[in-house]
Amino acid sequence: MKKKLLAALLSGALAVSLLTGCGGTSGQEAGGASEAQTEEEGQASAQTDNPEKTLTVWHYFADEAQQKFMDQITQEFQDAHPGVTVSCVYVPRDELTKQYTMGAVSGELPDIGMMDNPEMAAYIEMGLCADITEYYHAWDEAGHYYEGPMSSCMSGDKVYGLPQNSNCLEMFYDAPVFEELNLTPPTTWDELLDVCEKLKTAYPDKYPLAFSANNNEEGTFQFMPFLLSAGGSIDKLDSQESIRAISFWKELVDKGYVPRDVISWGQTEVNTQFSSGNVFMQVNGPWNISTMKDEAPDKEWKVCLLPKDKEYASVLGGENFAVTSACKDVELGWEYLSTLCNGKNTAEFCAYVGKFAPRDDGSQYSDVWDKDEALSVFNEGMQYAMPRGPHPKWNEFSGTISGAIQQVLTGEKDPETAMKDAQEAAGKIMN
Amino acid sequence: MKKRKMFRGLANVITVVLTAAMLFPILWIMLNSFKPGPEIFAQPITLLPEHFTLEAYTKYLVSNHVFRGYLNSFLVAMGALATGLGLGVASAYGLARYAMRRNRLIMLLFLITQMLPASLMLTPMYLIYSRLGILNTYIAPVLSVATVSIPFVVVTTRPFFLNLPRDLDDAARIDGCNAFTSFLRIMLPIAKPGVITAGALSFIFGWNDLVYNMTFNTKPELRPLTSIMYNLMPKEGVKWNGVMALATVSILPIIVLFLILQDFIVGGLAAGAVKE
Amino acid sequence: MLFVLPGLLYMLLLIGYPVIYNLVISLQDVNVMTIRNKEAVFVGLQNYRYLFKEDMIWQVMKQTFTFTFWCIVFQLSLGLLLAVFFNQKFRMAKPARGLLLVIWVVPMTVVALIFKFMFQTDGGLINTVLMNLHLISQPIQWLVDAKMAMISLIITNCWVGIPFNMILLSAGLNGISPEIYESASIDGANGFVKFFRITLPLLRPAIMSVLIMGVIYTFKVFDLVYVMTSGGPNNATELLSTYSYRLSFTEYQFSRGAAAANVLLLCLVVLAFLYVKMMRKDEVM
Repeated sequence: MKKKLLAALLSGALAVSLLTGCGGTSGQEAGGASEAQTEEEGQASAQTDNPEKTLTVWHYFADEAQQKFMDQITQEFQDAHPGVTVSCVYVPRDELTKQYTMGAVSGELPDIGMMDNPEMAAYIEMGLCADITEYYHAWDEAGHYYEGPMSSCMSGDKVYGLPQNSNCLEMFYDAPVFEELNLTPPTTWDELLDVCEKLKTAYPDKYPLAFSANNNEEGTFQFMPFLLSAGGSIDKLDSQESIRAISFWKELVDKGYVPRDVISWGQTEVNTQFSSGNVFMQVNGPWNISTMKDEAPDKEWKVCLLPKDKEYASVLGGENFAVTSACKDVELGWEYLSTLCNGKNTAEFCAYVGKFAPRDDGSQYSDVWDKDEALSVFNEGMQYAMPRGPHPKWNEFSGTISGAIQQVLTGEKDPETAMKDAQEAAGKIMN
Repeated sequence: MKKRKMFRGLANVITVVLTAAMLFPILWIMLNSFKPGPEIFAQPITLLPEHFTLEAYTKYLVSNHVFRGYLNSFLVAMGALATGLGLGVASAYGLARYAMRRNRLIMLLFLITQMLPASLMLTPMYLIYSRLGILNTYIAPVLSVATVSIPFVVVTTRPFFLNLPRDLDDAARIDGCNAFTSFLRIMLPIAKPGVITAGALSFIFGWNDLVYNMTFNTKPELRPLTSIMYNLMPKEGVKWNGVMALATVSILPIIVLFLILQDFIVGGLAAGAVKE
Repeated sequence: MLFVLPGLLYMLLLIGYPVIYNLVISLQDVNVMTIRNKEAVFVGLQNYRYLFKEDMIWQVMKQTFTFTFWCIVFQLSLGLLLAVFFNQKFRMAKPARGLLLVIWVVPMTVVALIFKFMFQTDGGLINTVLMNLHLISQPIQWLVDAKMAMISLIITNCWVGIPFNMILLSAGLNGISPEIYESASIDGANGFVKFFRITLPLLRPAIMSVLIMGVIYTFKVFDLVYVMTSGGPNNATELLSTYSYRLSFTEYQFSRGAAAANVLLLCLVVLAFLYVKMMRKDEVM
């Protein structure tokens, strides 16, 4: 009986391998012209039957404003390249990560993809990105990129993508409450403790400050500015300075200045709590500005630099775009990439959605970063913003940091032990 | 008799309280869908919307092609239901009706196919579908959801066939039915309550599926309600009232459907049928 | 066999490959640095050895079993209780039964989101209600405290699981002929005797089915944990499913992720084997 069963199993497996062995044509279905396009624009659809001239772009811009801008650029590109159809598809970030990972095995990828900058090194290592070094060096705008963002698109001397936007973390505060209590935004950690104390006394039911100490990349991202400001570094997690940074977070939580729930809050939740008025200060990025304007238009808030310990510090966030290795026409892919990321489009996009151009010519196209009260603070902070990695194993490494944060904030380990263990684990990963 | 009446009265009260308590989170979702974003998290909590608004509905439903989403959800759910029931019930019947020594092993096989978490099945399944060229069609999620519903149907309907008297089948055979017609005409109708319950639950498997639809369909036109909802909860900023509104509209038709069909779904028809 | 074959073949075709695929990957060395190489290196059991050398896998396994055990205990017993209760003839029974099933229709991601907010320590709905009823004086740190986070997950999963169990057992109850009860009543049996002497034994196959499906589904719960706690605080709610997902899709340690998934698979195979062993002779016929 068992033999028969085994035979059935084997034949089943065989059938699958046969099925999967043949047939293998039909690459990425082009996703079709998105509905908006077919409605708005009739003339280009005549060309859609030519599969060579279709580009699929995946991005995780969840915001309507950002999506609108992508549509505009798509339109611009299609007008300049008659016969080419671009379909821009929104895929949520977590899902996109998964799709890339599976794409590494199956080869099914979009032609152009958006990538978070600390993740990019891993994608390059996995062979997801097409080498565009030649095109890049032949491009007259190549010299404009800042080193930090650009380094995340490179592996050795080779170029695999272009940075499209940058951001960093600073501090939002509740302006009316600060006015009421006659508080000025803190500039140092000591002042921060002082402000927290006053807020807590005045509003014992609410919390002075919140940040995200999630069990993932967000936790690491939010901790970085504190780590760097104390003079610590990710290479030496067990240094006195690094331990001081984590101890400061612990102090904030232990004194009741920061809700204990932050260990389960992502940055979205932190922002939600801030705009609902449950928290008076939050560590967060400029992408929340449009969300707050949209969802809580009556909320009055301002932005200040993150208080410093030794020096001002922040962390660089941002997104890159890459031509993937599945793109059949890399030249066309590059054409799209260099249209999307040219000086004008980059600057306009970033100005429009409240982010920062990862290149030095942003101010030629927009003055919003100097004029807008909140953005000018972030703009000042950008000069202190340090990139994460780039390293193909950044995520694994980052996990040890966010893990250590959780251990300390829950009281599972004391700061010294947690950071020492994290350093040891990090050493193992990087080797 | 008086005692009986007391029991009923008490039972009714308990039921209402219990059901209300159990259903509260759903009511909570619905109430929240009528609040503006920040009010959802305001402290202290407001039970009824303080600033009643339909904004979530007007803003998110139309722009996200919810009606297309309904259709997609329905098609995938029906596809999975048909595949799951068709193959599952037959297997369950076969396993219950015929004495086969390898029954235990077959049951074990059916169960084992359920055991890998969906997230780990994705890559290999993706490879299969990629080779077959059925990514970005309804077929891929239907096939995948059916892999969940088939074993489910097998395991849950088999006990019903076990309870059936074998004489019935034997009698049908004498009357000229073969194994299949006897199964279809005699046995299946009798096992109806079990089959319908299993079917209703398979439908929900399909209706609720997120991971397969999300992974195997990146075409916006083919996204079911669950995917649309997921799109409203990105890390960069969850559209809270939008998610609540969408959850409300996706739950409502199922509530209506279940209330209408609940006699069928929960059985009741069967009570008298199983007689020797 | 003709009845069984189509279904079985379908499953083997679609699932056989993933199972074998994961097995093969787990014996190779595939991670972010090596996935580009066409020929993966065969490393035998190295990934498993690596996993079991770390304390993490033991902790995760323990947590998975704890989670599954308590979920099953509560949802099965309460589900059965409700099924028997609603099987009595009174007006609200049927509508209630139908309505409760609606819980199962709410997508898991939404359930996880809404419960995450109800479980917030400050201003969460659950703490607010408990405080106002004066059942607690201090807010409970639901998702912050390691033990409470696990309890929160169990409560949420049971909330979804109870109606599911109830409905399947109700269908089973309906299959029991009322005449059996009638004759028992004539013999003077009371409610308890009827329940333990008639209902339970006759319901046994249905209970066993619900039990094994429940164990399998609970053991590999993913969305709920991923959204509610993402394994935190401090890995206290990391389960085998989320752990293997994290290894594969966050850390890009594909082989270790597959190995962790196979550990999960192995645990379930053992449980399923016990179930099949326990199927009585007459049930198998």
